[in-house]
Amino acid sequence: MMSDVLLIAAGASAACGSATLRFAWSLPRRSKTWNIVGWGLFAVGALAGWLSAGAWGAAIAFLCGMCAALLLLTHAAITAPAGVSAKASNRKAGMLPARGEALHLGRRVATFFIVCLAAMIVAVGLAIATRALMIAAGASEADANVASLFIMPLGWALLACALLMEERRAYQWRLLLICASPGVIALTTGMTA
Amino acid sequence: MTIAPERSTVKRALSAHAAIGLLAGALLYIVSLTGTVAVFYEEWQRIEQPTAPEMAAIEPAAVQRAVEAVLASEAGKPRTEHLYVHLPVEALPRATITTDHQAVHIDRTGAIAGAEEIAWSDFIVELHYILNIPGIVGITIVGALGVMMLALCLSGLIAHPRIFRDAFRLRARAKSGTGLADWHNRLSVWTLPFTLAIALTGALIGMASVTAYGLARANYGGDIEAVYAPIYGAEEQPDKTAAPAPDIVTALNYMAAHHPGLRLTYVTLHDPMTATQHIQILGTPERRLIFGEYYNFDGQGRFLGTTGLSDGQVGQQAAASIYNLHFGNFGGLAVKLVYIVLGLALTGICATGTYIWLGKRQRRGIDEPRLRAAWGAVIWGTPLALSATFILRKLLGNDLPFAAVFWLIAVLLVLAASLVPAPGKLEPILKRTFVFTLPIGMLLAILNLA
Repeated sequence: MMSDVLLIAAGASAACGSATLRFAWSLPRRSKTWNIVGWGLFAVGALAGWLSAGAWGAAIAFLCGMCAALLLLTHAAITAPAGVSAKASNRKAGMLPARGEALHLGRRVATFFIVCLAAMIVAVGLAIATRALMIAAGASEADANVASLFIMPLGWALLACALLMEERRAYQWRLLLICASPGVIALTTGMTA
Repeated sequence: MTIAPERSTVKRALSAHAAIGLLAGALLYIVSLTGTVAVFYEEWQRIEQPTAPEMAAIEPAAVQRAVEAVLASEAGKPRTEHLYVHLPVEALPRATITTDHQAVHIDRTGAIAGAEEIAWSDFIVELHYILNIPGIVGITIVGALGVMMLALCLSGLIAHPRIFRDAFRLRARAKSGTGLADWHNRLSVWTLPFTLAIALTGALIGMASVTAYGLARANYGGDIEAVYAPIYGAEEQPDKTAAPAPDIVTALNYMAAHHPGLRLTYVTLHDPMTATQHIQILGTPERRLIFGEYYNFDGQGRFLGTTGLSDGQVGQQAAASIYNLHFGNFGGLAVKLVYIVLGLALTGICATGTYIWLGKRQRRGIDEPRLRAAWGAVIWGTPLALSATFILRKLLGNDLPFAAVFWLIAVLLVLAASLVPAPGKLEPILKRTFVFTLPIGMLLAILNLA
């Protein structure tokens, strides 16, 4: 019974968080107070959800918050004036060359392999290092293995992002080497034995 | 003090965002769309084969009879290593037995009622899970797409410093690309927790083979199963000496006596009819993200213990939670419907990203009608191809090679869009054709249900 009340409060709190942020961002000037209240309601929702039914309750609270936000967006879409002509962004992403520019195909292929292959291997190394470190710290085998399974895709995603934001090739290699070192240390010092 | 990134950082993040989005965009779109459709995997099975016997529950004795009948029907074939009994549950009130050789429905008395015919539903799940590429290649590619989706979330946040401040600013019908960009950014912000959860769990599931290979090489002498053993339990060394059928009745009766009210979803037999055969019953507790807890029994139905997915190590509980969190089957129909809405939003985000990029280039004077048409063919051709496969399933039956049909249609449409003399005309045709196929599919489904 108590958990039901907490769960309803969690969903309501997260939904109110969306509504509060909608209000906060409609004000002519930025209101730190309302922003804190809005995000705070989200946090309270997640906490109440967790207290009600652990990760399941927190997930339900987040779904309620997102649904409320999508409803508010639907309202914004319906009431948006038609045919408004706003100046659209022309920011250059630099993915393909502009007219007359060289394609630099070799450089692009090298970037692909660095981000998709080298970074993936480095991320597996991070996973191996994570496991070794956790086992050394006294964690159970199950916790260490699962943490490694989580670290690999997370590490790869962060590394991919960082590598693609780095324009100089030498800096990309340096970043890869730094991130590869925990895995190399774990493998060469017998921490994985 | 400000946490806003510098302009150069924003610019580089936008480049990273565009690079990943354009490289992986089409596959991300297909995986997002099919993931959304696959949320209703159980419901699609019922639509696909409406005549299969349904029941709210099944007696243990009926399960025993059915298992023995199925095992007897496979006499002379290589012995199945596993046998799975799907027990009737709310979303799929059917009892189905799957072995290495066949899958059959059983009725409430335990008699075999006929072959399971859900090839289209399975095709949708496989398209989402492995892009219909067998082996670990397909699942690894999909895992890598999950990783790229995570990277897109991060680079997108850095590339748009005002994305939270503008989180409700939706000029939905604005012209010249603003409306499209607003839809992309607003949906991205408000589905962010969902997208992060889906991307991380998908990436973890997809990349697990690669990670486990690395861990196995480094720690377990190359034995990949040993990586998973502390999490999901170990497989015993089989002793192939013949034995009578396992006592499922005793095991199910134990569950009824000791865990009344627990929703039982599967009975799994390991190495049935051998000396080392054992029974696992999967029980799914209410209000948990875990897909269930394994209750382990020996061949005589004596309880041995649980695996610990519900109350063991934190890592075990986390690992057991990723599947339901990814597929949205942790809160009944209501959560599934929310996942459909959020999944469609995510699919829309994938679709609009490339349109935004094409629009920017067009405004800078670089018009690429064939590239735009090819992207339009991906966006409208994919649901059209899915819809066509469903119609063909209903008209021609279960044995059609759905994966081949889907990819043939999808690839041909993209090629056609790139080669036809008037590329701009194809996208509206595809859009209209897709919309036209929807009521046909629905009508065929309803006619079959009647």
